Amino acid sequence: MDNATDRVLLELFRQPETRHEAFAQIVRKYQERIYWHIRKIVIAHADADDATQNTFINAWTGLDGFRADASLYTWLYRIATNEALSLLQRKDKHRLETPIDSPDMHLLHHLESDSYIDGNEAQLKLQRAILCLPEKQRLVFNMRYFDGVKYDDMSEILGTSVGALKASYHHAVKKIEQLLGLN
Amino acid sequence: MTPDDVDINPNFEKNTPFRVPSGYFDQLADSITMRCTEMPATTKQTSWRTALRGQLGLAAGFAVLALLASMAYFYMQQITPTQQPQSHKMERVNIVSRHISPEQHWERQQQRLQQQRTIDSLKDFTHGKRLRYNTQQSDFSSISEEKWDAPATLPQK
Repeated sequence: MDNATDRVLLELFRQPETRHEAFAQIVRKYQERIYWHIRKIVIAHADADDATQNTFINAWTGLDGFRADASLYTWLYRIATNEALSLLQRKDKHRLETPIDSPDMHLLHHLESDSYIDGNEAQLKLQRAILCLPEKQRLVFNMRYFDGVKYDDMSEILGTSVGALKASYHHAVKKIEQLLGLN
Repeated sequence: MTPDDVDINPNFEKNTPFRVPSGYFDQLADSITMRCTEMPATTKQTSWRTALRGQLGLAAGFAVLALLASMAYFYMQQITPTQQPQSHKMERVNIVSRHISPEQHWERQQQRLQQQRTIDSLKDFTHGKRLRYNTQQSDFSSISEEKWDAPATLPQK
């Protein structure tokens, strides 16, 4: 049902007279999912706002070449993931120097100080633990645990095999339990 | 084998602490579509993958041509020396070894020229034919002689 709607929207997008309205529909349909996916990666609202807008602008320029054999949803997710990771790379050139099992200090700072973060202690504790995961595990965990993304879709988004993703998720869970003192 | 899904401890929060400004999503779509509208209109755009594929194909074609040309060149380099008879090559080497160097040849020519200039200046006072000589601006000079009819005689002071 969702794919049928996407197909209709893409058809309307390809016609000049309905192009803008079709794209506006696509944005309204996916903006929140894309935004929250990016937000969980970059933490700060301002950064998530930038990356979300850039994602849809890239989608606007690339949608003509989009092949219908992939789903629009995974395609947008892939663009959004790359935008978020690129933004982090640009913002903090020293991210690679973060020791293992230590949170990314740049992101931890955002978690502690961003104006648009308001949660209870348990939520913050979980987010701090997630920040201690390696980047790939963090992505997999967020997409699986919070967004409920299927492994097949995740494989398409991240370009990793389903088996590797499952292993990554498993390790992420174990790590978080260890950090939170739950095992 | 890793489990398909691992149940997270139920004490874990399913909600995140992240918030957005009031009305953010209401205006987000408008902001994005306005930015896209302001962008220059593009008609059918080729996927970057297709464009890249074409360019890579072209580059690969040139690389293959360059490789074939180099192989042909090296092949020709290898077969050309063996086609020359060994004796001729040795003879040529011997001949070259008996030649004077270009610097020596130039020196000799200069000496000859100087001698001829001296003789010519002396010949101005005689009725004999002059030697013609040509001096070129290159490393070598060539002298063409005409037969000298009358012996040179020193001018009478």
